[in-house]
Amino acid sequence: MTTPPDDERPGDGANEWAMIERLDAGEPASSPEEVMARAPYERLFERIRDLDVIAPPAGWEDQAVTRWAATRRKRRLSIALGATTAVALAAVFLLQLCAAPSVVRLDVTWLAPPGSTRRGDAAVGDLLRVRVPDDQAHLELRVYLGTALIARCPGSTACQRNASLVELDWKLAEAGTYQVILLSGSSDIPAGNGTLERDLLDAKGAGVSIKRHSLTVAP
Amino acid sequence: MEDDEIRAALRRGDDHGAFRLLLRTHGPVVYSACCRILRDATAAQDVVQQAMIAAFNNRRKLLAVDQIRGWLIRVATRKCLDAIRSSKRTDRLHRDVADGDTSDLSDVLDQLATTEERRALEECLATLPPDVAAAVLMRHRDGMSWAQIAEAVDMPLDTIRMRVQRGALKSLRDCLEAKEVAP
Repeated sequence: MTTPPDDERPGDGANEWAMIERLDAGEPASSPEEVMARAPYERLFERIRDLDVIAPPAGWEDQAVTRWAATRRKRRLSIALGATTAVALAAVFLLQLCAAPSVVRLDVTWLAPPGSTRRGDAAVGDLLRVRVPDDQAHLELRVYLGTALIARCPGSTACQRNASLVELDWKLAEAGTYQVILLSGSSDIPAGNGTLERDLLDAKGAGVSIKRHSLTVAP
Repeated sequence: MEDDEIRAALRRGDDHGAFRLLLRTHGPVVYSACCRILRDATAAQDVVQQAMIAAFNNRRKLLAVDQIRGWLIRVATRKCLDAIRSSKRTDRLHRDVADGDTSDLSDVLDQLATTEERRALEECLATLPPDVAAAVLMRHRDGMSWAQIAEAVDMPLDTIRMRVQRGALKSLRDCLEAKEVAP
């Protein structure tokens, strides 16, 4: 049997660590010296395995059960509250959805005079035709040339109203930019004073829904 | 066997019975682990209760885990180390160790009908940093893998293995020799 050199002897520094690693991995000792070096650690491991179980104090189990029951009640209450809140939010959402005003469709087009073969943009002489479903409590159509009010419906002879539709046919007699404005809502619509910006501000302030369509009319 | 009974109680909806059985079967071992990490019986009671409740509420894991005891020890160890970190208890423990003061542990050890050798080992374990002591116990008392230990103490595997193998075991051996207890 040969004696390992000092720097490889089990029990010295890095070699002691390597020996512990081998012991931990369940590998057999490589020499009688290693068997001896392992012995104190093997006894140490045995002692650690044999450490006593420390009994919890009396009443500990009941305390834990009481605490668990309390957290369970709290969890259940949270779940119930969460579910109730979710149902309430869903109900509010559905109610809002049902109560929301239907979207008003503004249908704007123009018609060239009979016999005309012109295509493209609107021009002087064309007929502006606006159609709106008449399904709002309060509804008004207005036509502005530039910023000046030139037609309104109801209130103009060019306006027709039947059971389901509001119609406005307006002859485009001048070139420029026309603004077709649809005002609708559940409350009264403020009367326009003839200026586009001012009328829109008044309508917005009254909570009226505004739809707008621009049309450029060539000479 | 007890693990099967706990799971059976859970499956038949007997939560109360399952929780009682969990406490009775595994509570003392988990409590022992926490006492040795926290070195404070009152704190250990509190943390173990928290750990047992948290584990019980994780029903999916409770039903699926291989060995409930090992898992509970890991859950409790994490909570103990968190408690130490959050209360800055580590600093005080380090001071205690430097002063050779293990009075917190004495309260616990007084309850044990233990031999002088075991008491000496408990006192030597108390001189280790809590996470390292926990790792030593998990490895050599509870037979856990290094991967499980690393997860429980929230450290890289090689780091905790090195701290145990290169430092803690030698420290324990020296400590026992100083107490004239042959390791």
